[in-house]
Amino acid sequence: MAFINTRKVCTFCENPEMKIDYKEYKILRKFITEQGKIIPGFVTGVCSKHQRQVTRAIKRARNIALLSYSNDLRES
Amino acid sequence: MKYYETMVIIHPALEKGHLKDNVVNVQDNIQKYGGDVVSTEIWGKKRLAYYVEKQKYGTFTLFQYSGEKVNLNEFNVDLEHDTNILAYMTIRIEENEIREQKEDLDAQIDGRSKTPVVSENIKKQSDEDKTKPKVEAQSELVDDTKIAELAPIESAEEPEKEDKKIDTETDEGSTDPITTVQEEKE
Repeated sequence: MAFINTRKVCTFCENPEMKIDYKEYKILRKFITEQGKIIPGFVTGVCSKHQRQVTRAIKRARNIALLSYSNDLRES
Repeated sequence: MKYYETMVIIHPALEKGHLKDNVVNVQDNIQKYGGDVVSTEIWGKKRLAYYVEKQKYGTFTLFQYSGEKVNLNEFNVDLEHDTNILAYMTIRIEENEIREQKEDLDAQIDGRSKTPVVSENIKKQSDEDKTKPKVEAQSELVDDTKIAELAPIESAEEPEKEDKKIDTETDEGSTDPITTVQEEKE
């Protein structure tokens, strides 16, 4: 039986030019759910080093109203 | 030398002259408290992710400045007391994170609705998106040519059916499609 490697590769390790910054809120939207929760790294495939940076950037973006803290799906 | 940046959300009601006054006022404050303004970017009016002081929109402005001893506490107190500023955030940055100011304040205020500030990463992504559909379109063209190559062979086998189809197509312009179907059945 052949072993299929399903491990995801970190997008930021693949593309070192990509900056992790709170100002790049459109990129950060990929790493939060519709509710506004931060998606864990083992789901998105982001490595732990970059996941820490992504988390910090998302929290900064929330502080300055670029991203929402929470989004109630029942209202929309 | 330490580098800082402050993101400020200005009240959406302020436009042109008033907006510039407010931006210049913040720049003066930075200089007053021991900082040198390196660049100023006006992102323009954007929708906020949540209501801030009962406002749905706000004008995002980014100030980047440097200095050895910048009195950030006093500067932040000034921003807090300013009624035209909805929210602000000051963080420390590295030297390589500083952006070059390409346009003057007036040009940014006038043209902010026409050319919104797009970061380099987003630009690259959009370029990739533009290139991808072209490739798909080319592949579709190839498929069409393949079908076109195959089509004459089929048509050569059954020429009578094609003639019928053409007749129905020409009739559709003058009469209803339902009547043409009935005629075909007859």
